[in-house]
Amino acid sequence: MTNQHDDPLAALLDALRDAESGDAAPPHIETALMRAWDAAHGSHTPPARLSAVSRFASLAAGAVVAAGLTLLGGHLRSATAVRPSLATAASPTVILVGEPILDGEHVRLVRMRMPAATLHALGVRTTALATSDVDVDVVVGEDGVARGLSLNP
Amino acid sequence: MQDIDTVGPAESDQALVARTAAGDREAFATLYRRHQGAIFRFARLMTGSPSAAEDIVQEVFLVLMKDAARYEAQRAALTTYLFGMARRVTRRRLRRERRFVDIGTSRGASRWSVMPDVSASLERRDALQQLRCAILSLPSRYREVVVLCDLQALPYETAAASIGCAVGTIRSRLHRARQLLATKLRRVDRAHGVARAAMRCAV
Repeated sequence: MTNQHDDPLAALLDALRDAESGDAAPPHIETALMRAWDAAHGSHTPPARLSAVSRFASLAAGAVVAAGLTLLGGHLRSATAVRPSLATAASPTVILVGEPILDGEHVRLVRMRMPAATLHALGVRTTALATSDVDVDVVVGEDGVARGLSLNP
Repeated sequence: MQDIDTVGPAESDQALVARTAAGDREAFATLYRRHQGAIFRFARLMTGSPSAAEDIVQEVFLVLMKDAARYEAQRAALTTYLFGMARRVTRRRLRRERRFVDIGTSRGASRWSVMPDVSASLERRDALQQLRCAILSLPSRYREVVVLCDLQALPYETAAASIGCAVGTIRSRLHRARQLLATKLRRVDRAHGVARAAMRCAV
């Protein structure tokens, strides 16, 4: 199409096409797209078929864990008073709001101030009054989607 | 030339789109790997911004993911469909962020200069840089035909279908675009010549 190399412009256009021919979108775009695919279609990993032995082992392990948790819960109930807001805004706890952070994924921390009512509307409990403002650190993934919130009391 | 970054088995685009519409993850991944490079290069040449090009690639393939069932192979090849969509997304973005087209000189150069091109000689790299800037400074109706036909090597018919115009329009726009490019490059060359002469005088 532009092979008339006696024309300097055509030669330059050919050179630019050659120089760019191997360029492609960076890998994180594919990662983000496949994550979007998984979110839209459910997990891509087919459920593994469990053998009878591993099923039994899983059931037994589940029963042991359940019994342990029941005992632990009883001890905690008797030892502590119920404080529903303990794990909310009292400490800068990270609340996961999106996909997990991948191994080696670069994240950014964006500090922002927002009305507590906004957090309440999102289902995040805080001890702050709905009319007051809350400082929030948002953990943002490579694809620009929030991965977590950290509430600053 | 059709496309370009062929990865994986040579299953037709049509079959892969059908499998994608049926929920086949691997088919979608194969389509992405096969076509993303061309779409990325198109978007980058149109916007002058690698990060904008990444966003455009993502948007185009998100649409394909959602609307694969609506794609009709008898109406257009997938390449045409993807370039058409990339063109719409790019134009929308350029309208929204006018600063991407308002280049032509040093700002454009600084944006491209971050791209590695170590194998090329400095002079050749400068010439390509000037060409990129000249392409970016073209009105978008001329820029897109240069990018599609001269740099993506699409047949005129495919470019016309992607843009939604007649083949004759592609030919005339391409002719005019090359004239504009040649003029711009000559102007840059003259300016460089003056600058070099000034340097010699100063020394």
